[in-house]
Amino acid sequence: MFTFTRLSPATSRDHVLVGLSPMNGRYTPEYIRKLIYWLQPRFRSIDVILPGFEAAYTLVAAGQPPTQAVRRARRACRQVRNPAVQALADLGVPDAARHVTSWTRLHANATYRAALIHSRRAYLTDSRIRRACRDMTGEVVRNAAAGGREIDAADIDIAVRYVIAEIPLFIHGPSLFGATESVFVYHRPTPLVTAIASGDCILTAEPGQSWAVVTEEENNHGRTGTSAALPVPSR
Amino acid sequence: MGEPELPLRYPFPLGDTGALPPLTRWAQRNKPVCPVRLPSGITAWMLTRKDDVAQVLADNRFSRDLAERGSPRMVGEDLTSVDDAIFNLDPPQHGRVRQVLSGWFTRRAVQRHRPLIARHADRLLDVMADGPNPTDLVESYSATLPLDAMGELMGVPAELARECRQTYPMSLDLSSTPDAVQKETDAAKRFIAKLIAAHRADPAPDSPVHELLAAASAGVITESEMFGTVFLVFVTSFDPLVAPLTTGPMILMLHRKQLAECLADPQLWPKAVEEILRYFHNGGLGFPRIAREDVEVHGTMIRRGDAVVVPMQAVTWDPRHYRNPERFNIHRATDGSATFGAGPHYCLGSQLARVVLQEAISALFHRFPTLDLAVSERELPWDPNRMFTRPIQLPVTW
Repeated sequence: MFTFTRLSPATSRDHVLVGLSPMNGRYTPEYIRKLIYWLQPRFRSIDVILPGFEAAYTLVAAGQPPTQAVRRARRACRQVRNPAVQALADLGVPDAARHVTSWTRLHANATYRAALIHSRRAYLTDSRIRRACRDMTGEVVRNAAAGGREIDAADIDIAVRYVIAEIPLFIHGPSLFGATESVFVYHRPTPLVTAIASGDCILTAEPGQSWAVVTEEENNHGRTGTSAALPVPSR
Repeated sequence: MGEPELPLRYPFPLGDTGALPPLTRWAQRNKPVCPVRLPSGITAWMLTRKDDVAQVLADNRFSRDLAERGSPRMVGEDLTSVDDAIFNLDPPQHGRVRQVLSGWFTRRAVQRHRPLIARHADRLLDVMADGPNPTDLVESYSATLPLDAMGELMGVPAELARECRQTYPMSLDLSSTPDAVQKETDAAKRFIAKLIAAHRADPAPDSPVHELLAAASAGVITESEMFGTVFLVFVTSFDPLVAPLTTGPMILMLHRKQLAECLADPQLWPKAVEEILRYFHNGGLGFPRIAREDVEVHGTMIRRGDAVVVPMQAVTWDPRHYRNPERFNIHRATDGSATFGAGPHYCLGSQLARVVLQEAISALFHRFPTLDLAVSERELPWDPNRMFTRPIQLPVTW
């Protein structure tokens, strides 16, 4: 069972975009299967998004040689992609593989490309976006760094491309996936989504975009966990 | 595949990793003169067999003059709408204008530009080596090199370099609107007007622009022919090079044995470039030609005024002329010439394109011999709406 907490008041069940983090230990094949089984029947359509090649920057910034970082990132993406495709296929979603995509592939979409340029500009010009991107990046790189290696600003400069490349998915879900309304779901609220949802930054979500946090309820002596996320109005 | 509904609707879904689109292959086998609905709504006849294409492109009953408003277009008033551009001229007018440029573009003449191409390639590869790894090769190299190298070769003055980068590559986007296409064409016209004024104020000898200006001054060509042809030379200097500078490295990374052969024996780079030119799209369906009179091809009557299009990738994948065309093989006896067209409009820049590709691709792999894709080839983003088809991004590591 999962708890679904919307970060915006929208209640549409038109489309759900599920963000998977290949290098986060939470996303085991079993967890992915359960998550998709739980979400798919609750929405008219579903897509699953994986990181593009920028995922390797996290490992490079954490001290790994680039070719090794790329190999590990590709393997990690495969390991979350396959159970996601299988789960959608088992649920009868036609052409299941088409619904599990990386944002590298989304470069074929003019909306994604334009939004990425806009996102890069936002990172350079909006202090709140910049801070959110760097905070998120620092956390991910520190988790990936072995042996308590210190992370410096140059490491963040490398790896922040990962987070920036994800921004278009937070603001243009409906256009990118041909939906009227789209909710982006992740396992926790992130500073970036909170900044965008607040409307107090240079990035604005297109109409129909909303966000939600999905957490797994732990069956712990009958008690269930809840998400700490607070509703945030969409602009 | 089953029987598709006719007319086919363009753009077609692409083949895997840039292979011939399945619908083009179907037409080649089953409907050699096939009706295709273009994004503009016009229906054209698509020819897909090498012999038919060679015959039609050399046949004066098919005109290239699309400058008049209302002529068949892919989307809207694109580069074919520019008056008196060399693209739009029919013989004998076409031959007179082509003669002005042909000496500059001969095989022998373009060899002298190798050091310039190599210098720009080396500089960009230095930057790439010092930058992030992995990186997007399109952004780091494939899209940048033509702008820098061809920009210098074509005599773009420093004060217009920035505007040149904003203007080219043109999107030539088949999903665009007629209004957006018109705006893109108008922006390029404004750039070319400034470029011509700059060249008149400060001549840059040894460039095609200089040759055309001199010919206009001497009364060999008209002012309008000069302007239109400078416009065309610029479009073709950038956009058509970005695609093979992307697909070429990609296919070599996917055929590492052949790449290793090239690295071990640099004499093989020209062979590799010929096969890259043969294997991939060169401008989708191209731009239409118009029948001046009724012409029968394979029992189908092409009526006067009808539009005809020819996908050159179908020509270079015609199994009657290329054995196992789906196989990438740098050791073929055939070359990539057919990708550049046939007849009087055979690509003027074909030899220069070869020089650029040979220098750029060999420099890339000699600098980064371990260069490899940073994602699965299935993840590469191909946009079927791009006229010069390629992955929009090519993530690589080394």
